[in-house]
Amino acid sequence: MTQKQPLVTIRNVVKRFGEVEVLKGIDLDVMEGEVLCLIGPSGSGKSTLLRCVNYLERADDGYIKVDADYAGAVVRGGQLHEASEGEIASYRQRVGMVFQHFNLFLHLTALENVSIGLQKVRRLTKSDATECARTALADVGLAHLEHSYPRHLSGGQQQRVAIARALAMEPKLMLFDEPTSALDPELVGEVLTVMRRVAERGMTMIVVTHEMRFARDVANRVAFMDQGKVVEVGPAKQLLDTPSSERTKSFLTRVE
Amino acid sequence: MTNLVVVWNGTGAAYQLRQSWSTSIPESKVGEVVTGSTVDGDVRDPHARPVPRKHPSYWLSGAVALVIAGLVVYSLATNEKLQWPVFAQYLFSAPILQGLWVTIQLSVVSQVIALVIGCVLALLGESKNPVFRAFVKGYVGFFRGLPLLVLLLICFNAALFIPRLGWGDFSWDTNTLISGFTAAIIGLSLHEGAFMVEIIRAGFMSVPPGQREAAQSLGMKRGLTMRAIVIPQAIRVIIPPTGNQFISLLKASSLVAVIGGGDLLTRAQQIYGSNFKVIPLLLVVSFWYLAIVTLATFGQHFLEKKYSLSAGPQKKQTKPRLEEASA
Repeated sequence: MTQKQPLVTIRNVVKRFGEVEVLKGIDLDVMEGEVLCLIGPSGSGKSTLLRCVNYLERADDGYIKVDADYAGAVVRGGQLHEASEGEIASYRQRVGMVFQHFNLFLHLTALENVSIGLQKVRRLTKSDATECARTALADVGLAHLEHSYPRHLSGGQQQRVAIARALAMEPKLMLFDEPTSALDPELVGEVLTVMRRVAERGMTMIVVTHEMRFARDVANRVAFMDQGKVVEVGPAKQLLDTPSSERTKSFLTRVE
Repeated sequence: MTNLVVVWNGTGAAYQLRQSWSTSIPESKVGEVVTGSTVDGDVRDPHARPVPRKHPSYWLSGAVALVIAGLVVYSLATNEKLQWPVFAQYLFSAPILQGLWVTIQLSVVSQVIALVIGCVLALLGESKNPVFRAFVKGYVGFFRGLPLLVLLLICFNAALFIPRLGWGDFSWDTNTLISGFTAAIIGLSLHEGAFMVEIIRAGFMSVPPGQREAAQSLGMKRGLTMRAIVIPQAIRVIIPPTGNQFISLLKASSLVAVIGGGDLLTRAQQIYGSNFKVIPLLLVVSFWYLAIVTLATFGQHFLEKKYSLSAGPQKKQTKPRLEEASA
């Protein structure tokens, strides 16, 4: 893997929910084409960090930069200013997100789920959008289910549609928020296979996961988070096999 | 020990033990006729099923209800004071039918305006702008809190505190603008609008928050998210209670009689005010309200079925083709 410049820069990100500080100053870089897995016990702030990257949560302090754009902010006169709704929307177009509970649009078919963003956000014509969406669905192996509604799909199929939906927008960065945690064990594999293929194509990915095998096989680096802090970051195999921190060690013995 | 089964002998009372593969019974009992439906307290008949319970109490209460209903109908039909001939005379009379038409107009027009008020204010209530949200709260609090009768009287007497409507040369005398009918429309719409805001807001809230997050993560703005994702899903939650609300509006519209709204009840009151046939005319009014409410209830059931949560959009599902499924 040739490492270029960082695509994602996370600096001193702090997030509070009321009195509780969920993120206590996070610093992370993600290189272009890199896969970073975030692991750690529940409540450690992994998902919150991911949601901050997509600006679904607003960081109380610090900043997050993806390529040339800041999450929920723009630079004016050498100073970061809160972004307008349109600026936030165009930022989010470049950052794809896959949710734990899929969040497919329940009133739309699999194909419409993928094409709606292309048509209404990227402003493709209806036939172009449908064409693109078909390709994206075929890519995750679901061409034959394009007219099915989410409730007729298995969890694994729904999550693959959700991945196709996010990828169809041609983002620079893909965020996965525990994409297999809500799945029956026998359906986890098909989703991981799709994610592995996305990674192999060179997509930059931040993945919050409990799948240690996926982290070991696919991730370039793994970051271990605990109590709102990044405890350690390192190459996947090194961190998982020979963690340097005691907390990482005890977490890994508990999950493996 | 051989595997045996008990076979029903057809009378319902006795079972015969026969050799089989499923149940084990001592060989000595093969061919033995067993009375009753059990062997050693266990059902052995593979086709056994419980005999349905009889419900004599249903028939008994039905009979009692029929007798009581008959007595009630008989006493109503033979009660001279109800003056059925007068009822028949006025049921389809011109003023009554005109009043009925006004009642329907009032309800439909007010419901439509209320729907518009509800949509606009519910959307404003979703706004990030705290001023808009406060305005919506204020509106709902005020018009839902005010009794409809009081609101109608205020609208009708608006001229007493707003003598002229408009500005400078472009103003009109309020009294000429506000008739009983227009005051009724305004009052009913404002009142009904407050309830519609709540119904539509509840519909928006019924859409899981993950739907909005997914839409936002695709780069949709709030307006587009509402139009393309939230409203299409909320509509099925909004429609059934709206039908309900319309039915109560049909009945509540009778309150406009106090301001001479010209509706069904107003006309009936005008007639019995001059001929004192109070009861038969109230029966005429009751008949027509029950008729239109029943009609509206049918419509309501139809809408509820069409938009019930379980239904959802049903399009044909393509069958998975084998070569693609295995790919």
